[in-house]
Amino acid sequence: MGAVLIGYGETSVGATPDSGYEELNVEATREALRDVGLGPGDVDGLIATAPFRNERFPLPRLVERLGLAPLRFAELTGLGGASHVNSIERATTAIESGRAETVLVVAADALRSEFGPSTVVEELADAVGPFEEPANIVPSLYAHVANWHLDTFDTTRRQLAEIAAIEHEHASLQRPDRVQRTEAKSVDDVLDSPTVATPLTADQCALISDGGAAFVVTTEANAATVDRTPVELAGFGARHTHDHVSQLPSFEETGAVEAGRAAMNEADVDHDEVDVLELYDCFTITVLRILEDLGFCDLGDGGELVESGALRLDGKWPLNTHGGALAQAHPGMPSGIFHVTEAIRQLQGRAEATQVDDASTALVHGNGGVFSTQSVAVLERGGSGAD
Amino acid sequence: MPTEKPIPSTTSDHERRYWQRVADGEVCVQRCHDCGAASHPPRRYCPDCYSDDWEFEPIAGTATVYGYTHVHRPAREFETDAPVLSAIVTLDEGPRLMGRIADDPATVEVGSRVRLDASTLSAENVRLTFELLPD
Repeated sequence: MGAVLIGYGETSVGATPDSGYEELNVEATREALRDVGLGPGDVDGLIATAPFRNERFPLPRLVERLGLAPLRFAELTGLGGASHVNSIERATTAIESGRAETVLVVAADALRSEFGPSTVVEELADAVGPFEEPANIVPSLYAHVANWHLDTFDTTRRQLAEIAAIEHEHASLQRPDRVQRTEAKSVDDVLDSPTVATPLTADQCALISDGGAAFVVTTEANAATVDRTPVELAGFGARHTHDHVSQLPSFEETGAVEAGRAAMNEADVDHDEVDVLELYDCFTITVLRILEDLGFCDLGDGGELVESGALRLDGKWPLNTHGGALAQAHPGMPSGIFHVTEAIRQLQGRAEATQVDDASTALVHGNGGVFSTQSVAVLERGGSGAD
Repeated sequence: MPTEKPIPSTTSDHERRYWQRVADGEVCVQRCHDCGAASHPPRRYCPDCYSDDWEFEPIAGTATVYGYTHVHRPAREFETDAPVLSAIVTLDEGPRLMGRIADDPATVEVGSRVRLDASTLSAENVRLTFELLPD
């Protein structure tokens, strides 16, 4: 029995002082189930994401608070920003193997209101580990790769910054409650924001947000009874390569090369057939390198691709049409789920002002750690739902 | 004077031995006796063959810059050092590691040659500091 994605829900994002981890997970779940006309009793599988704060057993807490019990299938994600692209594969496999019938994938957290940006940055700096230069924080770990790119190829700071400008433009076209950044920014605006770690300025680093989202995966038979266009997982690939950025085997090749190849081969899709690109964007350099490793341009040509206009809404490969982690929202570990819900939204033709004309194929990418984990899914618009 | 970083607390024997060598001014990579692989960071079992028959091998200290960044917004403890020039270097022995570069930051680029300044190392400071070598 094939499995398809049938709908999604999102909380408001930015600062949600009245809703913590638990409430945001309930809100995302409520919106997703309403979207497809299902109730908690229709769900028998759950994939959730643990909160930023240390908590030993978040999964049973969510099972109880979301009112989903009894479940046949439940698990926590553990791949950081790559988690939710991976969850598409986990959910469809569970359904296709008969372990579950309808799986809810939910991820939400109150990173901003519970911790605040400086605490988050400091706590994540602990992840640098004792064997790397201790002054680093997460953005500066990525910045090492950014300067490598600038020095090795003809890439410019303006090209790198333009990625953030494109995403702010896309965020500015959203309903205001859907995005943390509501204003467009020019390349100069991005470059004029405070330097975090050269060449990355603050506007080239992920936001710190509250918020989250959920999506529903079910059997094709169930999907036929729901008035939503089904979305199919046409291909998937993942690669896990390292922990410390200094131990990335080569800056010239992240795991996205093989993950992307596997996903696109399985989907039998080539680059020209991709209508929408949802790439994990914790930093601008992440997007630049992944564009190259996924083959949308050659290694070293990412800057030119950015400058060409291809990634803008009217370009060949509109990028992060929701605004991404740089401009829409980044609630920490749940951040990657918005790339998935935006892809569903595009393929179902529900993307309002940022709808890509006749979007039928989306490539969704997740990145965890410091280029450590790469997951890639090709999603395709299926036949119409209930006729 | 940059902020010092004392030997981190650890309960693992191989890490304790590693940091003691660093504190003595002798930065090491791990060399496996069974498969010959050199690796970093230190660990109890060789990542290539899982052997625990290995030894710490002092590095020559010369290396080539692979990636770098001027950290303007460092971890809180190192705020007074900002900007910190952090670099990922490829040791002449092969493995890569991360440290800071003390010289004029503006002159560093990918491919710059650097050398470990072992004189900065002590039990009170195990932060690796490299100095830029002339072209």
